[in-house]
Amino acid sequence: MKYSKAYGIAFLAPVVISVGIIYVMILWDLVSAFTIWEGMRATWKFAGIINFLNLLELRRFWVNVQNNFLWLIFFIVPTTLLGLILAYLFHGLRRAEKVFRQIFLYPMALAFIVTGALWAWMYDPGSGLINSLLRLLGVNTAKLGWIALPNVAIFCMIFSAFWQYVGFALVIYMGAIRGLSDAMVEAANIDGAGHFRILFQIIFPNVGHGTLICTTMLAITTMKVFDLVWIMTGGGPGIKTEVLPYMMYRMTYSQHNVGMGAAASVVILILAAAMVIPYSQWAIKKWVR
Amino acid sequence: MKKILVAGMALLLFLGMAAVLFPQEKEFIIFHYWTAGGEKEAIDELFKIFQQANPGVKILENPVAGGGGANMLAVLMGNLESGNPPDTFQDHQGNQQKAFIDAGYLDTVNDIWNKTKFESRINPVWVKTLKFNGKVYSVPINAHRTNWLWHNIAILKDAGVKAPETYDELLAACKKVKAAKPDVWPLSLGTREKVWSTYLYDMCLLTTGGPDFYEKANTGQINFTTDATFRKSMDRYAALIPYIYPYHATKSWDEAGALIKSGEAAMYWMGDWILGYYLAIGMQPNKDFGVTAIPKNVWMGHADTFPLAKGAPHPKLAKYWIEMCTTNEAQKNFNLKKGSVTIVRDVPPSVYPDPFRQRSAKDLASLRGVIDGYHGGMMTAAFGDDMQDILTQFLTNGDVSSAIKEIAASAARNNIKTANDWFWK
Amino acid sequence: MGDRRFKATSIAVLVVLAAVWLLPIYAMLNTSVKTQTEVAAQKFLQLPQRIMFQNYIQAFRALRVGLTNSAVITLPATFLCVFLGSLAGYYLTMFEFKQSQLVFFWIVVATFLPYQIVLIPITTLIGTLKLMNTYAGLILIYVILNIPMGTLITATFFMKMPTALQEAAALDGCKPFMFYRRILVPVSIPGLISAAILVFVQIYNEFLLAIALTRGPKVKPVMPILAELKGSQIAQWNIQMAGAVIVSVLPLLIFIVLSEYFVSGLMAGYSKE
Repeated sequence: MKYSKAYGIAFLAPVVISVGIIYVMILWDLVSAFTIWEGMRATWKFAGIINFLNLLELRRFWVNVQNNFLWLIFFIVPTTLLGLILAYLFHGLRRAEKVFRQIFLYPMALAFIVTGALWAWMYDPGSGLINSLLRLLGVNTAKLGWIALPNVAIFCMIFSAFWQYVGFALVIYMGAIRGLSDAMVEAANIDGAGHFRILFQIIFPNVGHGTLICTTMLAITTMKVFDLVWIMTGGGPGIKTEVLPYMMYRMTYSQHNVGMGAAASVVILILAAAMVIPYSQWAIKKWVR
Repeated sequence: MKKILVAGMALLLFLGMAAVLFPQEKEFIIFHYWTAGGEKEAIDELFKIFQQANPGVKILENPVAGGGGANMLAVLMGNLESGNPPDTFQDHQGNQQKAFIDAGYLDTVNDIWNKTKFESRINPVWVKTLKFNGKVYSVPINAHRTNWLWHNIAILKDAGVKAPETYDELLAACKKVKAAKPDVWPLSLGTREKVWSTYLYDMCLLTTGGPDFYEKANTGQINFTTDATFRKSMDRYAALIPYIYPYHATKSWDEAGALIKSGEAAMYWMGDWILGYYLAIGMQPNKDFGVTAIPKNVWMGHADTFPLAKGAPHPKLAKYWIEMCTTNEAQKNFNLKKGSVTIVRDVPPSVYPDPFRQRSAKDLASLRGVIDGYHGGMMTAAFGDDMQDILTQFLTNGDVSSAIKEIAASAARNNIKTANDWFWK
Repeated sequence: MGDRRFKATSIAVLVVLAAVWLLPIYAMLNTSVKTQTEVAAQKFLQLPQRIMFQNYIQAFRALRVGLTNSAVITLPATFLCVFLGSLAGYYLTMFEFKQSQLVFFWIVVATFLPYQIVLIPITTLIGTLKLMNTYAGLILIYVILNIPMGTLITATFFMKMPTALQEAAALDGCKPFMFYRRILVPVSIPGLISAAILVFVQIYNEFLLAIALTRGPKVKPVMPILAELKGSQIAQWNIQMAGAVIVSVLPLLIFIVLSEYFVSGLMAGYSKE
């Protein structure tokens, strides 16, 4: 509905100005991507798309893109799923729920620079916690190299992010499930529906809103993941666990190639925009009721 | 309730703004990454000397933890670009410093070098890697030796192995240790920070082709694809891989070094800063662990330097600091705490309490010196960064041909031959 | 009957999961009370010989100033992000205007961007405004970077509100800000809290800007200091882990308090519908 413009300006100003500032700064990236840089020095000479061409030629770039996609799938889906299941399990509990909730929520309070080190210790094949426990249970851990194995490393890393964010999915879904009318669940119970069916055929379709928030937040996290890669493996072994923001950082500050780093930044921007388009389409549809 | 909140926020914001408006006292701004323990004590020694001569000056140190460089640069670049340089910061030499010079961020200190006759007091390798077209921009404060092989004395004795002093002896030692003690990994390594893979690379180059070849290889003066000596070096690196701790990707440099203590590994190739760590975790030199240099006729290492930032906000203080770093007193006090040795020859080796540093100082004063590839700045930043990825990949499969291909491609892509012209002038 | 068995199994499952979830925390606590020698042995499962509480004292001494700074910076910044962001979220979802779709799109894209890509321009901006090494500078940049997220999260929750409610209130002569304060906020507590939790964590755990925009300990937040505790060439993991525990107390408290409101606020909110 329409309202006086004054309110609109007042309410929207802070966010619009902030976003404006952000995009002006991105403009710097855009310009840098199209100019020649000699290491750290800008020459501001127009260079066409050479930075982009160099970038696309790098095998490293494509490995990074692939890794980002792996993150999207293997981080968002399991986290959301487990969050939902846990929320459902919590629903039945009363007092114990508070303690369990904090146990799953606490990882979010930890900074990535800490969890990176913690999970490196978890995954240490020699005396790390996972292998030590497995050995206690009689499992032979000789082949379990975890993040030392090039093809498994990234999944190990995604798991540690999953560990950190399940609490958030849990809380969102807890809220969503409690918001459902108890009558719905009661009716299903009387019908003799198994818990599995209740969860996936009755509850899940009706917490679409919670799912939306959850997946959006997790998608945002995937695009921004940086500290974890940096501390846990430095992108290694080789470049097997590298993701685009980290690659961009390495190019700009370790390789002193600001032009290519800026080109990578532009790619990140394009990918983000591409991911947001379906989301905002959906959101717009919801508004135009 | 809400009103109190809002008022509180406003007050905090106001306090923040107030901090801007108050006049700045006299300050000295320095960036470094010596943030804890012995390394912090070392730089505090320098601060002590500085403060005595400049009472009333507030020292604003900005420790930039982590990355051994990359983070420092990320933080610095923004500051340098936006015209907020510090007075000085911790830097290395060679190509690492050249990057700052080319971007126009440093000022020359030839006058300080001349005044203190610095050049005549140091190993020529420092001059070679700190002088760019006749100009110098910084003063090195410490010399870390990196061609040290640390070993567990008991394990080597049990396996009947003499501590190796050449590559061949090292490979033979690995084989013997593996045969005698199958549970022990002959050579430890930690590549959670990937840079340590380049240390072994440097060693292979140095022992295969000698110091001149080493310098040529790291500065891209050879044809990587066709050079026979280079191929031999890589083959030698590959030959070590079966004896290297296989899970190095999860270990940091200190965790890998600690494997010597627990007896899970026999030998470790690492720079002299690990001495402080070994002492801190209760190992005794020449009882629990010993050290050899490979090769024993070359001193390889790098120095930390303090350059003069262009447009430093307190140039007089910056210059004082830099000149202070050339003095015997400052060098001695700093290095005693740091675990490295002084750059200047005037400080006698006898000041060091441990035999390894005494030897390092003696060797630095008399042997041929080379600086290491990454930290020393023999490699350009881009090439060195790529090398870390290539070598950690190489460590997983030992594929010499594909590694050589990638190294050659990186060298060509990053134009390292021309980038290193300054070294060969 | 079946329900009791379900409850029993779910508790069993939860206990196992909780144990797994606590493993890294165990490693953190375990390491934080060991000596450096013990940590070097890298037997992560093993308990310490003696409990070195002095690690915590040492860590706290180093972190004390940083903790205050972080509180002073993060709390107002979070509040501003959520408050100002929710105003925008409210207007975007409740009022139609021509460009709302476009504006929303670009706001959402901005939340997806890793700020590292504009690290240099940020430093230039703060330097030019002469806000280097000030609380105001850090609060300002954190607000700029995180307001889009505040807007996005609150908008997503507000979307669930029927616009009919807004129209009815307007007809009753209810001005927008009053609607916001009296009706929207109480009903959307979970949304505001989710936003607050996420934004708080982002700002509190941020590391790069905290170093780049500060000089010296006066305004430096706690994260860089935590990173420093390990040391570059000495590896004091035990002190750093003790520090990590100390540093995580503030966010944990906030989570405990806020998630209470979250859960209870929900009941109140949805029943109003």
